[in-house]
Amino acid sequence: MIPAAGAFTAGARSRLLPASVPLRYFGAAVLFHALAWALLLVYPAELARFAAYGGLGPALAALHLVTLGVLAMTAVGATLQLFPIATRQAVRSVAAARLVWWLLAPGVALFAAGAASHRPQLLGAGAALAIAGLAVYGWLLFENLRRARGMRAVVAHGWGALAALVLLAASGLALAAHYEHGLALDRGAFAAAHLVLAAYGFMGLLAMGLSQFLLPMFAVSPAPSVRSAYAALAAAAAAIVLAVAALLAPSERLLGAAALLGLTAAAAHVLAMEGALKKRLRPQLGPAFLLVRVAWACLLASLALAALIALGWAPPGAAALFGVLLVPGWLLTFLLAVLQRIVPFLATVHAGGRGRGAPLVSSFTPARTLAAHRVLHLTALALLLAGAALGTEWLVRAAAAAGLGAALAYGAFFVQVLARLKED
Amino acid sequence: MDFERQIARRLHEEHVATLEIWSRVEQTVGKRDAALDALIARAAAALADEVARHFDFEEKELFPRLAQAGEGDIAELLAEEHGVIRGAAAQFDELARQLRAGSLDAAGWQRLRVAALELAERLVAHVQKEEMSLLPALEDLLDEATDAELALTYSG
Repeated sequence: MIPAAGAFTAGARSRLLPASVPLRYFGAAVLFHALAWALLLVYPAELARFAAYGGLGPALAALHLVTLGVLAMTAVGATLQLFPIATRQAVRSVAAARLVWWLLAPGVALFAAGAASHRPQLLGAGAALAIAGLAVYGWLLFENLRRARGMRAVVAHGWGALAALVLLAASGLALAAHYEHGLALDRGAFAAAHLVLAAYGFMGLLAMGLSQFLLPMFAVSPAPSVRSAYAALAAAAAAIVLAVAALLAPSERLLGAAALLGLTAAAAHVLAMEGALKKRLRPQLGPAFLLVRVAWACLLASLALAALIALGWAPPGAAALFGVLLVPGWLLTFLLAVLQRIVPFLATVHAGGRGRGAPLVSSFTPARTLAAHRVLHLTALALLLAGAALGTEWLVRAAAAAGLGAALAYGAFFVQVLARLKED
Repeated sequence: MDFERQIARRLHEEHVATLEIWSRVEQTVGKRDAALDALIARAAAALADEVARHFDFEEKELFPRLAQAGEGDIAELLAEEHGVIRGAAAQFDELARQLRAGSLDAAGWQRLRVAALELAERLVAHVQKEEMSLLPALEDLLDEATDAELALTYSG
């Protein structure tokens, strides 16, 4: 009854991309992840300075190595593969999917080099390349969402993320022009709006949307109800719009209200996800879910702290703590958790596409390497939170050392999966 | 996940039943007792039915439709997994038969345990792929009449 190998594939236009397409994004993210922690290890005092004053320097470089180099890079690679599955539509152009990497990866490297070395022209060139890459990605995402069928809640989150991507690219270009050409604007307000659009908008909405089907798939549980997903999305989108308006107005009360609305949205999302996970068919969730739950705690804490900061009830230096909760705490931790499940799964799918059946996912999951990563990453996060809260340079340096160790362990995991895929 | 097509719902229900029984096997296979022996017998019987009916139906009626819709490599991957699961199921079934007959020695028990854990992982991964790719695709591919006809064929 088994059809001969190749019997189904003739003329197929598949939703499954060549392995090299998503994996090149994950590989670049592994490299930028290590570079970000290395930069913080060398310049730990820059964290507090950047949180207080902003501007060019190693902290801006490290921040964008994480946000553009790890988060956006991985989001692009993962969604190019996952959205076609969710929406039942093949990627419009595989060549364009490859082109995005060739624009984004050098763009991130140039941007970080320019920011770290205080060279606005280099930063501007990097920003232009990265935005060109994100524009091509935005077109691919638009084409996919436009023709999407099924998983309406995931698609709705995709539209929200795409809108945020357009606005974050525009605000990013304006900031690059400010540094390079002296464009007059309220840098603090624009930078904060850019951060909201990038972290809660583009990345946050993608994470919320893809969670609707990825986490239930990992846990073998039903998905949360579409109604709860739409309710959380509507509240999150309203909070983001309100926050950007409050930052540009500016209005601290409105900003506090936006943070509280965002907190409500995040709590609704987390409760809906936990409710779905409770109905799982397999008792064990796996260690990646420890990171998922830490990430959710950081998301909620970031929004609670944002409200306190906006209302003037937070202690001085809370801005650095907010940044740590938001970027490495929520987004980076969540992404590393999800990626450690996606990469082996995807590798087995590709290893199995050669007429020999898919190998076991566990044989592509180096458990000890991932355990080492987990311990190091959580140690780094705890130390960085303490360092940011207390303004203590040595704690930040120790966090960066642990984070670099975590990034290297994650790199080892990625290399082990690739080696296993090559063997197969 | 909510499916509108009868055949997708039916396959989904069978996936849930498969996951329930094999998750229990996976959780309890370390400690041998009478309850586990009974569970293994149930799992072997359910798997034999799954392989004979569910897999054959998908290969004969659904994968060709998936391939015609441009999803040939996903259909091929799922069919390959069926082949691997059939092989593992045959080995498991033979060991389960020896267990029922009381002729399974300690080495045989160890082989049964390994085979059960491998099958549990393979079945979970296979169900995940079908739930993500095959069943949503059926919602698009089948009209109501074809869906009803397939549901009837599957029931018969």
